[in-house]
Amino acid sequence: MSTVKSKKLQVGTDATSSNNFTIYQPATPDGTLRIGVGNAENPTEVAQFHSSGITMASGKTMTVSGQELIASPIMERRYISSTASISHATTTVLDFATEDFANPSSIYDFATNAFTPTRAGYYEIYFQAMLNNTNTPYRFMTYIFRNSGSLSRGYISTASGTEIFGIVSTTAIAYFNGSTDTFDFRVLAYDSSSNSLEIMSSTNSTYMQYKYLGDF
Amino acid sequence: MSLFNKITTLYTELTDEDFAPDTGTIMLQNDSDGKGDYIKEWNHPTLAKPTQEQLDGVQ
Repeated sequence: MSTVKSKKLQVGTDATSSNNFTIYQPATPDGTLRIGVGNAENPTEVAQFHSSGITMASGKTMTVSGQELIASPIMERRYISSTASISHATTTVLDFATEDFANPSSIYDFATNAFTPTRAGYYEIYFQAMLNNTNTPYRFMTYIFRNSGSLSRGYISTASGTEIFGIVSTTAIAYFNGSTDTFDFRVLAYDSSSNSLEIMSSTNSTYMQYKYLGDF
Repeated sequence: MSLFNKITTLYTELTDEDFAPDTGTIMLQNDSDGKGDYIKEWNHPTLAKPTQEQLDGVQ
């Protein structure tokens, strides 16, 4: 049995350096083993092994069966922070002004009240809205829209003149291209006397949330 | 006065069902962008889409 000691080991001797890999230790040893693409003179780090496991370099990914592993889930939750007055029989896009949390960052556009995912793939989306019994609402709908089309809706109705009061929810799983596709949340309500109605605020009354599921 | 009420003042024959999703022919919308309610779609078979002047004239 022989032992080879070296700080760098280049695997491959192709004339194109990006076809070669280098296993190396950084100039100042720090207990890590690096794997980089390129020749031994100037490798670009892809990942490093250390006593705690493996860390991918910034921008590098790890895949299993063709699917990228994401350690920290992409997700967001927002709610409307003040009562929204909506006109009778008028589809209204809700303004989710307040963030509960967002990872890595919010994708909400305050100008359009729409969300634009920046990573392509499937997202699970949930939305609920609470209709107040100000006046006499008799029909209430909630919608999740992708671009200009309805993905899903919740619906409750009774006879005109009979009041409804409560929460209507809806959920969807849908694909977004990570660049131009958007989603938003809309409500539509009818009052027995054609008056305006109120969507109740607070984090547990009217809110939305989404979670990235993956791309496949 | 809301846009719905202005329209139904001009066209008294319209009912809530004319504004219902899927089955109605008129769709009103508000994008919560500060611009208020507007007519998103008007596909009524006999009644013409009201002009802004007509809507402004409704008291």
